[in-house]
Formats: sequence, structure tokens, C-alpha cells
Amino acid sequence: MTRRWLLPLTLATAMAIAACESPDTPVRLTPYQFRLAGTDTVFHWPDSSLPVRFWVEPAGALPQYVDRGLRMWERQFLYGEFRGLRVSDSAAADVLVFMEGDPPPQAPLTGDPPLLVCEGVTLVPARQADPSGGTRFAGRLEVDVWWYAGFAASDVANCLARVTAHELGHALGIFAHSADPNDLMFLRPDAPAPSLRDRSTIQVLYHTPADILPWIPMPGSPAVAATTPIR
Amino acid sequence: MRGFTLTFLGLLCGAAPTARGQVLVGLDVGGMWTSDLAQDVIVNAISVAPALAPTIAVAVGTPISDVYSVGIRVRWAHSDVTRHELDADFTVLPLTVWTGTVTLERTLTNWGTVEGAVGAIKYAPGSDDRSATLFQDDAPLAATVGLGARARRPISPRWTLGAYLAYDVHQFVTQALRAGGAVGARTVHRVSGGISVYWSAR
Ligand SMILES: [Zn+2]
Repeated sequence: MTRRWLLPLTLATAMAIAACESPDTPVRLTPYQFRLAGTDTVFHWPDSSLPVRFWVEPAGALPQYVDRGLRMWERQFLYGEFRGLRVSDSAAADVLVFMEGDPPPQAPLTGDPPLLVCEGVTLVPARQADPSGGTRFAGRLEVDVWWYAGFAASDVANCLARVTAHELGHALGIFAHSADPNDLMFLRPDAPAPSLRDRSTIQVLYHTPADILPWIPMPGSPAVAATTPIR
Repeated sequence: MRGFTLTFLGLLCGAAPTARGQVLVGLDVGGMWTSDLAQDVIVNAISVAPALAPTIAVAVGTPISDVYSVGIRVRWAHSDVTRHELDADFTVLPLTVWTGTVTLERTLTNWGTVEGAVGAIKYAPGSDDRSATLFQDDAPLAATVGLGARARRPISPRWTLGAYLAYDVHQFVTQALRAGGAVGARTVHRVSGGISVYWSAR
């Protein structure tokens, strides 16, 4: 062997060593149900709707809870499937988020045991035919949260942050609940953040063909339509 | 067309010998193809890769013997990372990739050279909003090795034109992929090619 081939052979060997590690894919759990009960509808925000625009009522720390919830859900994705953005113009929003009743007391979030001192609901609009031949929501999705007086401010704040994140999971398209109390999408959420099963479920949802498109302003199309509530 | 062919053959066959102590400054302009950064199956098969990217490199080199030259090269490439799924492409985010290498070039014949390169690749996702992507926690830095071939033809005492074709390989993984349970790293291959211009400082 001549020195002429020393350099190419050395590099080829180095590249073969560099290439020998095998790739692997992320771990996922079996997802829970995400279809809307009764209609079996699958919905998720399409790429053409990103970033999804959220208008949030400026009541206490509700905007911060929404920002926090959106970032938590975004982090469950790897391939750019969802992005959410808070906007100041409700007319330009895809999702409206309201605080029912008085603004809540403000307090830093803590790691205290969760208390159910607040609740929420996501209103899924009725469906209407789309000129393209598909089906589209007849209005915007809406999230409402509320809280109960007589409890420590930190317990209310922890609950609102948790329930807002849970409702955002519905607004992203998880139109059902997990049966596992360790999941954020359990009916009465105790988990402070999406679990591995929540993560697996939202990922599977966003790669499952959707049956319905989001609402867009159209002549004769009301911004608010009849809705199906999901607690 | 015949003129172009003759010019190209001239480039291939007219590699300029370099003198020891000479300093060559080079500029590459071309395109870069990159293999998948990630493959996954979530309901459907998914692949994620940078789109074909324009690339520019600046290099400085000097001969160390009659046949060998050493140099350093910094390469820039920029394109969108796209997710391919169900025969459709979706933009994930813009991505710049910087590559810094030390090169050892050998004159094989009088028509061209081959080179080996070792160095590092730095991923620089270009979007402020990368929280839903595999770059949500970090922008990887990886070691790389590569091979290339170059042809050159002097067009004046100080200026030389050329063409290049290069290949390199590195291991790619991000913290987000590891946090999701991915154990290994993916071998990423890159092929780039284009034209070069060199200026001799002496
Ligand atoms: Zn719920």
C-alpha cells in the first residue's frame, strides 16, 4: 500500500466508525381517546392555521396561565406540528379564553398538593358544511375557567394554571379525557403538566387525519355558534 | 455549449501546482444536500431533513510539501427544515448550519486534488419559536469527518477557478429527542458541490 492511499483510507475508517451508531425513535405510550364523544370527530389544528391565535381576557394572571399552558403543550411536539400565540385582538383570534366571575387573586405557583378550587370548560362549536366539500366548525373554540372563593390564593393560582393547561389540551383537539389521574387530561386534573401519555396522545392526534377544519370568517358565518361543552 | 464543455474540461485538467509558503484563500459557492435528521413513525412514517441549501465557504490553506496542503475552512449553509409526511412537506423552522474543519489536501494528479477534513458542525436554528421542534432544548454541536475532490485551473497569476464535490458525515441527536426516549443518534450524511475561486497571497 502506498502513502498515496493513506489519507483516503484513514478518513474512510473514521467515517465508518462515525456511522456505526444505530438511530432510535422516541418512546410513546398507548394514547387515550381523543375523539369527540357521540360524533367520533377528530380535530387538530392544520399546519395552515399555525400559529393558532389565542385571545385571553386580561383577568388576573389568566394570560400568563395561557402562555404557560401553550408552551407546555408545544414542548410535547418534536416536528413543528403545533404553535400557539396570544393575540390582543379578539376578532383575529382562533380561540377565545375567558375568566368567568371576578378576576382571581394573584399568587406565585407552588408545589402544594392540588386542590380542585376552580373549574373550566371548553366549548366545541357545531359543524357546518364547507364550500370545499368538507366540514368546518361554525364558530371559534372557547375556553371558560372560574374559581371558588374562600381558599388560599396560591391554591387558586395552582388550580387555575393546571385547569387552564387542561382546557388548552381540549382546545388543541383532545376532545375526551384520560382515565389515568396521572395525566393532565384526566377529568379532574391533578397533574401540573402533560405526562408521557398526554404527550403520546397529542402526538398521535396531530398525525391522525382530521375530520373537521377550524372556523374561518365567512359571509353568514357567526363567530359564536351552538357548542358542545367539554369539562 | 461546446465552449462551456471545453472550459469545464480545462478546469478538470489544469490543476495548478502550488509552491511551498504560498497562501491560498478560497471561496466556495454551491449547494448542499443533507440526509434525514430524524425518522419516526407516528401513525404515518415521518422524516425530517433540511431542504437543499445554498452554501458558502471560506478557506485558507498553504502547502506543507510538494503534494500536501493544510488549511481551515468555515462553511455556512441555510435552508428550512421540513417534515415529510404522506407525500407532503411541512416547514418546521429555518436552520443555519456552520461547519468548521481542518483540511488536508493531496495533489493526486495534475488534474486535481482530494482532501480529508475533520472538524465540527454547529446547528443554529433560525427561529425564536422552536419550542415545538426537536431543537427546543439545544442546538447541537457535533464532530464531523469528510472527504472531497477538487479541480482547479489558474486564470491569472493570482486567481484560480475550480469546482468541488464534498461529502461529510456526523452523528445527530438533540436533547429533545433524548428526553423523548431516543437512545441512539442518527448518522447524517451531507453532499455539497459547486464552484470555487482562489486567490493566491504570494
Ligand atoms: Zn376536560
